[in-house]
Amino acid sequence: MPVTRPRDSQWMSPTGRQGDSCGQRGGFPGTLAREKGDKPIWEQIGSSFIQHYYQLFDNDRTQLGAIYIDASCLTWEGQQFQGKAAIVELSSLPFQKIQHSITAQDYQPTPDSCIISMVVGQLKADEDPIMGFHQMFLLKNISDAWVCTNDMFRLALHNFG
Amino acid sequence: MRKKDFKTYVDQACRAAEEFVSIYYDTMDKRRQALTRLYLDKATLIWNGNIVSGLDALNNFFDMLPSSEFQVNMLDCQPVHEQATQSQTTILVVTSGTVKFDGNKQHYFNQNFLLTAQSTPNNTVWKIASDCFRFQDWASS
Repeated sequence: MPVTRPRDSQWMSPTGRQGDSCGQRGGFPGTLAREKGDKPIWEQIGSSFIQHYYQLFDNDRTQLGAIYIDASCLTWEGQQFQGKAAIVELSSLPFQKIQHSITAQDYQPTPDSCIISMVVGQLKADEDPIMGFHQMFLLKNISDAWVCTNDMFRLALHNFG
Repeated sequence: MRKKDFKTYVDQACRAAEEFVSIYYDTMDKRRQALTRLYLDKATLIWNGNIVSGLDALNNFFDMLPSSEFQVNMLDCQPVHEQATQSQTTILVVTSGTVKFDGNKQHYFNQNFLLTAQSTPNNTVWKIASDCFRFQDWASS
């Protein structure tokens, strides 16, 4: 959808991706070059994971179990699930088709080298009307693979924008 | 560490989260100058895509942000499993609701926190390590 920039203060007109830094840089592990155009590593890993996740979800959600581990926690519309097996039950959610569209995504490294990501977007399931959603992931590197240890999903049910 | 079953673990995390969230938004609305006490020194906030990193920057940012009226409608929370004994207890919290900043129209918002426990002999204090805030409906504003 077209993005118009309101004539408002910087803080009230958000950027779609992480924008220029403001203030001091924190002490993130492995500080990287932040020249314009260079995305920090956590953003590269995060956005690549997210892209993969929604692609799986939209095309074959039976494959989703692979990105979680036994200790993973998933909260889906307030329901708590634990472990790979429980999460695989998501593949039996009551819709045939689903399509996600990401409006904005944010990534941050954590003090212990995980990556938190927040996604805001819209989705359409079967012939239902388009709905907003919001999802948060915590990604961890285990044996050289990035897996999701925590996942929280909510529909923006109040929002018909 | 004693073994707790999953549900107990989650319940405890959620109680801590609810308490923290209540304090956070109350402080944000009514005692803004005290807000950065809830953040770790090296905490980072991403505010509608803008990065604010470290206490000095956070202090400047919250000082500049117009006064607010938050209403939280939803809260989700999860404990983060940490296997190493040195790791601090961590919980993830997601909130959503509405906010009105002075001089701006009301927005739906979503916010994520990564909270870390700081244990003193008397109690446990939670502080924000990472914070991410976005309007849900910014594209249409």
